[in-house]
Amino acid sequence: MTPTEATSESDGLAGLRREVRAFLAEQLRDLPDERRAESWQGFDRDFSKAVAARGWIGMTWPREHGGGGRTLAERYVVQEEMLAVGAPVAAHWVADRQSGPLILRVGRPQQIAAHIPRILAGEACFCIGMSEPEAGSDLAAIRTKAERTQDGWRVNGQKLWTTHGARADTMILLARTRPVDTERRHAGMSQFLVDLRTPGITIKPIRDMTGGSDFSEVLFDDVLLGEDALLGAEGAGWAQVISELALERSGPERFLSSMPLLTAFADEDEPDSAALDYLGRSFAELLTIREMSLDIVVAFARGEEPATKAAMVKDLGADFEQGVVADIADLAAWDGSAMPSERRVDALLRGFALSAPSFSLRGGTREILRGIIARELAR
Amino acid sequence: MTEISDILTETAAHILAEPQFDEAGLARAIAALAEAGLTIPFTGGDGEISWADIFPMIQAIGGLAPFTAVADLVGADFIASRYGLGLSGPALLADGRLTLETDGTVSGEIVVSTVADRTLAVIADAVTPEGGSRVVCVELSLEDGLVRNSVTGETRRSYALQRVRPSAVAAAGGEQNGDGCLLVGALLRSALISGAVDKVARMTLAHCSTRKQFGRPLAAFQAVQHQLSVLATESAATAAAVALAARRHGGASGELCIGVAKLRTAKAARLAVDLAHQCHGAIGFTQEYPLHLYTRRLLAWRGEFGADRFWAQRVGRLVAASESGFWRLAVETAGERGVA
Repeated sequence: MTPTEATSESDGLAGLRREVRAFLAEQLRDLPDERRAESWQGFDRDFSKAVAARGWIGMTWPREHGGGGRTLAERYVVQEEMLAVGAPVAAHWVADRQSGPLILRVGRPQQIAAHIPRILAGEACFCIGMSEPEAGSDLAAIRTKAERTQDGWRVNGQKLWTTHGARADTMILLARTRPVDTERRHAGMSQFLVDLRTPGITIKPIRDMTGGSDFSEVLFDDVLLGEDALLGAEGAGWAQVISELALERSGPERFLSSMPLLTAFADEDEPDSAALDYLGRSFAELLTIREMSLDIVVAFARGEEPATKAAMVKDLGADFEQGVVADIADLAAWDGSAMPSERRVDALLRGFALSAPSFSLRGGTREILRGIIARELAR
Repeated sequence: MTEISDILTETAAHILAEPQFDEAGLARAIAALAEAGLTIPFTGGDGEISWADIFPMIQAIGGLAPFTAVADLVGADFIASRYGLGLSGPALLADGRLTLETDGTVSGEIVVSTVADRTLAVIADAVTPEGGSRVVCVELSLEDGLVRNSVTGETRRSYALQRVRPSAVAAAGGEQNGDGCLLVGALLRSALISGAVDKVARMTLAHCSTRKQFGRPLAAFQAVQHQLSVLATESAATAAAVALAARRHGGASGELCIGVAKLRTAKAARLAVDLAHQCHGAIGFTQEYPLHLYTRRLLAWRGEFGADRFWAQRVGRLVAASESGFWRLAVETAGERGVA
């Protein structure tokens, strides 16, 4: 890389960042703080279509499939600017982050043709069918079964904690296609593309402690899928899931969730000494985690799969975004209520205080992440 | 890492391989480093050696339980080179800020890490009555210093200077607000901490992998694994924070990035000291076992050249005063990073 190239890439990133900021200022002008507090779980299909119209979904995907052919650094700029202002990105986030890349990597041409254009248009919302009642962190314990039929598959079982299950169009389902081999628990699982309108599927939203119903229970009762539903190789489900998780865990959404609250707090007038202290410390933490996260982008761009470093970013990131909520609640002497008030932080805290416990659960619990890091250390 | 930084790092590691605790040992180390060209990395060249080259070496030194003065020699050399401050020999970086009086003398209190010679040259920040930024070199005598026993096991000496005439004075540029030495010192301490945190993380992993209790290595226990994981993560965080500061040093966001590095490494140092000792058990609490060589240094380094609260306030004020707001300032401070 010559300095000239580096400069032009940086200039390009700065220009893109200005574009994204202008777009967000326009699109989200009237978005209330209660909605911004939903962070990247905020769901708005119209917004997702507007993002797609700018070419900001599937930015890095190959041009021959309609993608933007842009760099991971460019995608990162778009992602982090959206997160920083609490844009409602949920309707396209999962498809853009992991489902689309997975389909492009292991999907058959017909599957790519059926799904990728709709994702790129911001019209396809995907959900992840991994967790089950008996399989949370221990994903290999799933019991949902897909059995071969004459012309496809029959699925029976139950998925749980499926985020946006009740709103999504398509699930990427992980199911057992062979019985459990106790010696090789990770073998015999496969992934399927499932249209959630297929007969035999029942979706029950679950009310969460925030009052919302982002996650659901999804029941499969003799659901018949065609031969073309199998995504990737039969039995390769675990390896495919692991590569999805690397994408799921490493992004800026793992430390920027509560950025709308932090920026609102920082914008308040006349910080006292304790607030200045906090601004200094949180600024240091944010910049450090962001550097680590950008290091991962560089590693991905080189074709590496930095799973351990991704786990470190997510572990530190969840601590940070949870800490922001608790620390600002203390500094702002928040009393737990959100009456209409002059303080933006009250409305934001009302939302974030309730969602914060999920930050170190979703996408891999803190305990699982630390186990991953420790296993790598032991090598 | 560049080829130059590899060579510097290897040479420094070789010279400093054995911890040397007396002042004669330090004198030998300084002489050997000077011979290897390591105390003059910034002068006499054409700018080929940069902080990016130096930092891996400083981090490596941090993992060798060095005399802290070794880093301060490098820092003083950088300051002298950058601001054209004429020096007749090696000098040390001083922690503290002096006042430069109208009669050309300096007053104020500074702290210097231990040295072997009878006299020493130190470089310190100074402000003029008008608030101008200067760096000054003063020749001090060992006997005049007040000995402070550092928790590192080394000595520091503090000097309350009253109208002392400096041997050299240079303008330190408006952008650094009279804190050329403070910033460089904080940057060096951050790099040293990063190296030492990495070292204690490795020592702790090695100990927990071999030490058995209840018939299993400690590292087989999940509670211990999580401590090891946190240690490794903290080590990675210090490396990222130091890399950011080394990349942005000297530019408009240099002060913020150095503040970030010092704050984040200080946080990691605290955690690393706690966790490393906890995982080592009683053996790590002994004189005989070398863990304390590093943890004691970490305790001191996190407080030198601006302790945690100092930098939290300083960075906090810069953030609060910024027109950009928190998020945009964060992006501007780090700069755009491509992947090409």
